[in-house]
Amino acid sequence: MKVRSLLLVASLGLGGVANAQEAAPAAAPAAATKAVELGGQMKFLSDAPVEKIFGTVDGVSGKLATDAADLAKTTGKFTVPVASMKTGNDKRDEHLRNDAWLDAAKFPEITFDVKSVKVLEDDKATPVRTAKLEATGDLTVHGVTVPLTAPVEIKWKDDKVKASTKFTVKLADHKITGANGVIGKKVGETIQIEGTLQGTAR
Amino acid sequence: MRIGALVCLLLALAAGGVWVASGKHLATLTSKPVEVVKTDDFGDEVKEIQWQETFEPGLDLCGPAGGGFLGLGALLLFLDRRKRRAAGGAPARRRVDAA
Repeated sequence: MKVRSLLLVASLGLGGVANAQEAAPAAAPAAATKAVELGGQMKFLSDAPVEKIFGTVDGVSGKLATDAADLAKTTGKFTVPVASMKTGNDKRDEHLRNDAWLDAAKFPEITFDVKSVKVLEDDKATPVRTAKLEATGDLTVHGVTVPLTAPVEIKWKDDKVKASTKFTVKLADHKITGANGVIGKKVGETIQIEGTLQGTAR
Repeated sequence: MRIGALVCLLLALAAGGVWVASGKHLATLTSKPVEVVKTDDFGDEVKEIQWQETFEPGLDLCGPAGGGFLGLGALLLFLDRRKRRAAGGAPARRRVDAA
């Protein structure tokens, strides 16, 4: 009798516990990873002794995964469509896309794979959070991949994100030789790139 | 022909003038960047570039045009001098005989 009642109490107890677990499932961990999608326009400048060439590229996009609590845990990829580059001269834009330069037919996109991020400053003030970062990754231009570290300034408000950057690219690093010794005279050996992309974080 | 040469010279100068007035570009511009300022979701001003169709001749057009007119003008002047010499109108070249 005692054993039976003990067993009964134990099974009731266990049942109660089981029911409690069913009624209140364990709280799911807060979603720390955010998917950030950015888009916009980048500008570039070639400053050579003979001429300065200014251009833009539209349709630049970025897809990133980040931890809102720790921006250092950010990885992702930016894509630049070579075909949308403009410099104000149709003939020159054609040359830019041909095989002597960026060879858009073979390499239609310039990509930057973000491998790691270093947080220099992170002001989590509301309503706008601002952060200064250094993004390190692989920049692939003309089919040649070279490591690149670029400074990035982030602004984050609710689900809106804005990223600004400025860096230089050396054409020779990506085996871009141009035509007839033009690089260094009519086209700069390094190209200055800057831009601001905007988007949302989900 | 002299008038023709003068006209060519003026046209060559005009080609140079057009090039300078257009901004002294090396390559002819078929579109030019126009800055459009917008306010973004953060209240910041964002400057976006839009390309506006235009035609601003560069050295690639004005150079050959100006050079061509200059060359044509020089040729017309040369032909004019030859014609005048043949007709006895141009001053004879002095021949300095050795003493």
